[in-house]
Amino acid sequence: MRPGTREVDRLSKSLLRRAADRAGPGSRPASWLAGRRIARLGTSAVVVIAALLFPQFEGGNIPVMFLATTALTYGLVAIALNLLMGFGGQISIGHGGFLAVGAFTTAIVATHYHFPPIVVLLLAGLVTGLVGFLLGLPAGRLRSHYLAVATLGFGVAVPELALNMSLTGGFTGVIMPPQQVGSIQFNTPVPLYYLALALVATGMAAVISLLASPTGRRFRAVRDSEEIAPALGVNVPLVKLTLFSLSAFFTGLAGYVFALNNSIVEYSQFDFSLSLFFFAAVIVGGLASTWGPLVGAIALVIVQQQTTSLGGLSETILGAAVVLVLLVVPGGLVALPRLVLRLAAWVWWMAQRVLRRRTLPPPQDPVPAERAMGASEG
Amino acid sequence: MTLFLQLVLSGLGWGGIYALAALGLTLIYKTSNVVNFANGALATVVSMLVWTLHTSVGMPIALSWLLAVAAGALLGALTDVMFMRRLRSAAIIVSIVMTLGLLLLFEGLTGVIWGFEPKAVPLVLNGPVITYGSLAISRNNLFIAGLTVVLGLVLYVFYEHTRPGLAVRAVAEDPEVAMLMGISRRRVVTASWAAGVAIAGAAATLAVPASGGLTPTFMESIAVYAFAASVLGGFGSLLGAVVGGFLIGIVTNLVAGYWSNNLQLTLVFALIVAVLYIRPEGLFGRRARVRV
Amino acid sequence: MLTIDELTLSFGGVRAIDNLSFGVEDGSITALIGPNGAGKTSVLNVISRFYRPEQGRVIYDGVDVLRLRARQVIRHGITRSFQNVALFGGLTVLENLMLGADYQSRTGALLDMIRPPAVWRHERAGRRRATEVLEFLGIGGIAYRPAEELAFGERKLVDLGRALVPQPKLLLLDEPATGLVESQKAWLTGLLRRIPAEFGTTLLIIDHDMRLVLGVSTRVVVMDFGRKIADGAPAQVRENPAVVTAYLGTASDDAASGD
Repeated sequence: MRPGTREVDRLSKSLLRRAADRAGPGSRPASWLAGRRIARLGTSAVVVIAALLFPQFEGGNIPVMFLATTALTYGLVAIALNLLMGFGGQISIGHGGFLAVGAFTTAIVATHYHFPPIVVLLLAGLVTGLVGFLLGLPAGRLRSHYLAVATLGFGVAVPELALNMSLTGGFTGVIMPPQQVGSIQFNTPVPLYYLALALVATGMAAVISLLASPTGRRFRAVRDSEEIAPALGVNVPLVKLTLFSLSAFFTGLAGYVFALNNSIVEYSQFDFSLSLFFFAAVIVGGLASTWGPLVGAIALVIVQQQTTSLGGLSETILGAAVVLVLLVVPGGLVALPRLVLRLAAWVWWMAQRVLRRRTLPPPQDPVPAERAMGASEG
Repeated sequence: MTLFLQLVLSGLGWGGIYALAALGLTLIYKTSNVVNFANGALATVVSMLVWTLHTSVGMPIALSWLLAVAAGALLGALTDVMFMRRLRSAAIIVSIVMTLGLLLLFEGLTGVIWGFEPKAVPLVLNGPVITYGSLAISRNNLFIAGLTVVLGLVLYVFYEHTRPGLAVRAVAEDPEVAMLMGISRRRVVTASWAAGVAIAGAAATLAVPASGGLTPTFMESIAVYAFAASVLGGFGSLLGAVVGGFLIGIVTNLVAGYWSNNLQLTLVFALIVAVLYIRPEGLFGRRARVRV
Repeated sequence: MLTIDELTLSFGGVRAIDNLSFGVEDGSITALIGPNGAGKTSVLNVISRFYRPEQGRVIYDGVDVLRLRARQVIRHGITRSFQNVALFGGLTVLENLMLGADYQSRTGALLDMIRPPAVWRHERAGRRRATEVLEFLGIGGIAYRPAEELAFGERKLVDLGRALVPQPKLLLLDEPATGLVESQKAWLTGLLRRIPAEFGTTLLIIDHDMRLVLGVSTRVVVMDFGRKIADGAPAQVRENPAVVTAYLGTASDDAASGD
């Protein structure tokens, strides 16, 4: 089971077209091994319930709630980035820039106008979406490394602009005023956590819904074979614009939570490391999977938090994780259970062989074996 | 007019550094089609080694340089063999993602091993500023610019007029045909990585004094300019790297002098987008054609 | 009716298509054949608007095809398969086929996210249509496999299926039989013959395999070096000395032809 070069090649080849694509609704038959489906739904249900009940246990612990909300915020950005990279095939190492736009829009609008929070939230999303649209105009004509360089430039230009504009508070930034709906204060830990959770759920639902629709198929068509897509009527430039705009929109929504969570928005919060963090979260979690971005973001936030004592350690771990994913587990964290089960199946088969000295047929092509074992998340 | 010329002269120092960094990127890109986003981080390791050898171990600066750059070449070769080689048959995007992972990894390791305290590396050339009329340029900057031009020429001669250089160009042009002619693609690519990191390491070490100190992340901003230089000059072109680097250095200095020092990165971003929009292959690059 | 009129296309100094003119009758199976490099795939690429010719006209059902953008071609009833079988690897077979019907969907990204009834209806109809085509092609069982995991023969069929889903008036097939074994080719031939009758689709086929082509076509156009050298019924074309010369062998010489 040690991945040889060929297997690595094969696995790496599918990096941008993860098997988890199949996880989208509408792309699987309902009758198909109901057992596996129940296992997946069951896990999802447990996760959702745990997430909902979390504040009951930790609600009073401010640092923990801050961390949890940060994890959810970054998770939403990762979901947005995964839409762009995993399903759209467009690379971005500048998403910190979009988060900055969303967060600054939130803080500035909330400071100068007394709009209801929902309006501020939507404005954050829309303004960022517009910036995404504008970036998508030239970016749509760029591929791979050119696009990476352009988004990198975007990601470092935005904080620099923020530093130099009085609107964004220059060096000191903008303080985020409270946001209140009725008696719910969103600048307090527990309500903010639930808001973040709701936004994450919305983001995931939006992505899942999109995937099983013409737009979702068009996205992936552009990702897989941009040259051929027009023959199926796909408007490639429009698809790319849509991808950038949507990805930016959801990142902008995350910016709203970010502003409330940190109470202040200033330029130094959005450096290149942040964009790299989002990038790593998507890759490590599992590119083009449904749960990957969220899992990746949560995992990496925890890693970062636990390694603040030793400078550079968190980056080392993030980097090593990305490298490992590429070389060993292209499906990312969400593909680990499946990999472990494959390993177990192989070990079981080897054991059988040794113990019974009988030649059983080897484990099938991985796909049937893991189905039979009722593997989990995709 | 004098101000203009002075600004141009002063821009040659940084221009040379951007050009060298871009040269490092270009060498790697030519043969493996990969933009090595980790080049700056790998270069930082070289600078750290110079510091360690010179300041901690006490070696003379020239020897420290030599050993560190050689180590950089080794590091580049190892990076290719251990990480990049297996991804050769996959889509380019996979290699790009790998270099980004390596960027994180090496920046992190540098921080863990050497810490974040800024360190000092001595200038290569000290001494009084060289003046010509009312224009002045520091010896160090002149050295950097000169080194860049000389290195560019050496590389040019190597590529165009030597047999190994021909082999490299063959691999860059058409790897399969080159292999059929008996040229070892593996060796050429690994050698390119070694050279690319070595040159970038030199660039980084030269940049330390003007960057306010050697830290694990100090190459991040320089890297942006290096990428811009490659975009402007054209990714596979040596001449493009040199010309692009100097142009970026001079233009950013002119803008800083005439207008403001503050929006350099924004300016560079705008430049990148403009070039990619108007002429994606840059000044000297070649347009790629997509076949259906 | 497809009309190609004085079509000329060059790459650098090479004339890929040289003053080519021919017509394709509705309901026919027309073959465009010729030795390698004769310019056949280029003709398809011009019709699907991947290439722009220097000169000439392409008219289909009164529409000036050369004025269309590549993505509009499908709306005028023209679809195609690809020599390199360009499937969308990360999508399942079913999704690949459903794309064939997606061009009709009027909902944009926003509505698709919200999923109003129109989207549900489109999905249901698209899935039904895609499944129909899969059954017609006999590959219903692989509907949920990711396209990148398929064997070559299966890929070719999915490619064909994707082009059939929108019920095209004109279907361009680029080397549909290349890479298939004899038994598969025979089966494909039978399949192709049924298409105009069952779907009302006109076929324009490019292939090397003379036997397959002569067996299935109602009309054959022969190209060599970008030019038309013969045009007529299969039996006539087979005897045409110019055609024989171009291929350096006769059509009945099975071992030498195509494959």
